[in-house]
Amino acid sequence: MPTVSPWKQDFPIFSYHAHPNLCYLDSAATCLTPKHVADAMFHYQCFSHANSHKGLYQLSANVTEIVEQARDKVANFLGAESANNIVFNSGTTEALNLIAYSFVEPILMSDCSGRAKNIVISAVEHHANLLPWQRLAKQYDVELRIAPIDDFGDIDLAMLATLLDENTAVLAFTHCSNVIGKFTPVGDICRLAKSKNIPTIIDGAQAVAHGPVNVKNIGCDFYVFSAHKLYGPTGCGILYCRSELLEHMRPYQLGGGMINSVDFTDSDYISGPLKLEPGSHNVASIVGLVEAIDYLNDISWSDISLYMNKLNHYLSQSLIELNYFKPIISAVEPSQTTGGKSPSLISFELDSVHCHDVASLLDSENIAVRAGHHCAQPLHKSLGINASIRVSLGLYNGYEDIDRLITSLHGIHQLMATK
Amino acid sequence: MIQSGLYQEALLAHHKDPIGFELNINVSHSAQGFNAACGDEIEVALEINNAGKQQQIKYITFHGDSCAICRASASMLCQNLSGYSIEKVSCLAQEIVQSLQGDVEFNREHSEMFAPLLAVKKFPVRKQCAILPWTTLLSAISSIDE
Repeated sequence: MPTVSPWKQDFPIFSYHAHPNLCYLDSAATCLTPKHVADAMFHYQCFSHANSHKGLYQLSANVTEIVEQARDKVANFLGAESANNIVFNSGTTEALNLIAYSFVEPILMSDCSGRAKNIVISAVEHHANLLPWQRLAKQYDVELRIAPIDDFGDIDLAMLATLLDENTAVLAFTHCSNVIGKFTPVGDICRLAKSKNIPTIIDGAQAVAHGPVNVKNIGCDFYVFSAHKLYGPTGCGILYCRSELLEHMRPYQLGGGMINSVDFTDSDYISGPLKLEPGSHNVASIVGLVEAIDYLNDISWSDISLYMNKLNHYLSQSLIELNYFKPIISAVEPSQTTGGKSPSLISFELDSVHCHDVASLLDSENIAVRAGHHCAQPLHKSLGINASIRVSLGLYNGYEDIDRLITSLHGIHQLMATK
Repeated sequence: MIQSGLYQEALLAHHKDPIGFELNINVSHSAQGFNAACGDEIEVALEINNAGKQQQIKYITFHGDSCAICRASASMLCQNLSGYSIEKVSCLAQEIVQSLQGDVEFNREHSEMFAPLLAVKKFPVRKQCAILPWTTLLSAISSIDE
């Protein structure tokens, strides 16, 4: 395996006039952008831009076609039944809020069973997949049940099964934790939920860049992710939704391009994904997402998985050798992997050095990592810590980056340790 | 060799051997401070001397889980403010907060007293770490009249 990533040259941020010495280890926050994606967006904005779905002139019709072809591309990427299952939005956070408002809240509002409903999530959720449910739970006096994790940082499936019952309105959980990096057995969980007729929502933000996703095989009702976690731009998110459910969802935001007819007292909304896409589409970002998918397909998922697995393994082995390394999940599974897949990232502390100081000092060495609770404060609290350092890798990383990190961590510990 | 203008020797000395850390005092007033962005937690506790016309801070202590900047800032706070009147401490704390935020300049006396903190002004993302003990102190002081 080469010391430098074979794909690093595709990312202009490392060019000599930008950040040639950058060691970027925060891909879980956002992936850097390959030139292909930036070029495609630039080209669209300069030479093809118009408003989609509204104009009667050819330029607008061309843009409508770009958006609808993108919908088809994303449907293929996710293994969805059709493009009609794909809704464009601004990102994972908006998609989850949309589902909460458009699908789950009406269930709670119309419930006449007299039995107390509940919503189930896991203990590893990002705030984006906690706060919308917390608010609904308070608003409708619904119990928010939290499936705990086991010693290895995996969602405890036995405990989860006990939380799901005939009064569960929805089960929302992550495909891959943004703190622990372990992949959730999404298919098993969806089968369990389906056996109890419980709708399932999967937050795929941290999973989509690490291997192919097939929503039909998974059997979920909703799957959401953001383009910028997939080497695409910010401002574009995807909501996959099963057709039967999409038709029953109420519009989330209201505006242009989503009605059959409207008068001053009433409106008749169109069916399909456009019902949930009011206003003008963020076409440049959608173009960027399509280019990112093409970029990854050109490399091939098998090459990506092979490379990233090796790199993540090297990272974990290098860190374990530091005697002041404290992983937030210390128990190690016998196989070290879940389904042959290494965790996509590592969160840890350094003994006697605060996480913020580590991140600041790494920054002074041009090494970018995340420090804090990573928008998963309850998880950190349940692990007995306030914050952690998170290292997450991308296609542009190579062994050289990990070696730089380890050398710097050693120097930081020498400088800062209080005992 | 790790180099950083932020972590000077004087600041590191406060971090590694903080003044006022986890002291056993007769706490009369205290407050907790949190930095939501990063998870720093600190508690600043005061022992007030009520003798005489003016209330004075007899001792200050702090504890909590916080970074080196926050810890060193709290250490300097404890080092320099014990024995002062509540009124003076309140004014000084407000001045320090404003200075670290960049709204006003440190006056000469205070810039010598808190010199290691001045470097933080050049690192915007870490200003809140240095400010947290001071805003927490102000919260503790505000509880005196309640």
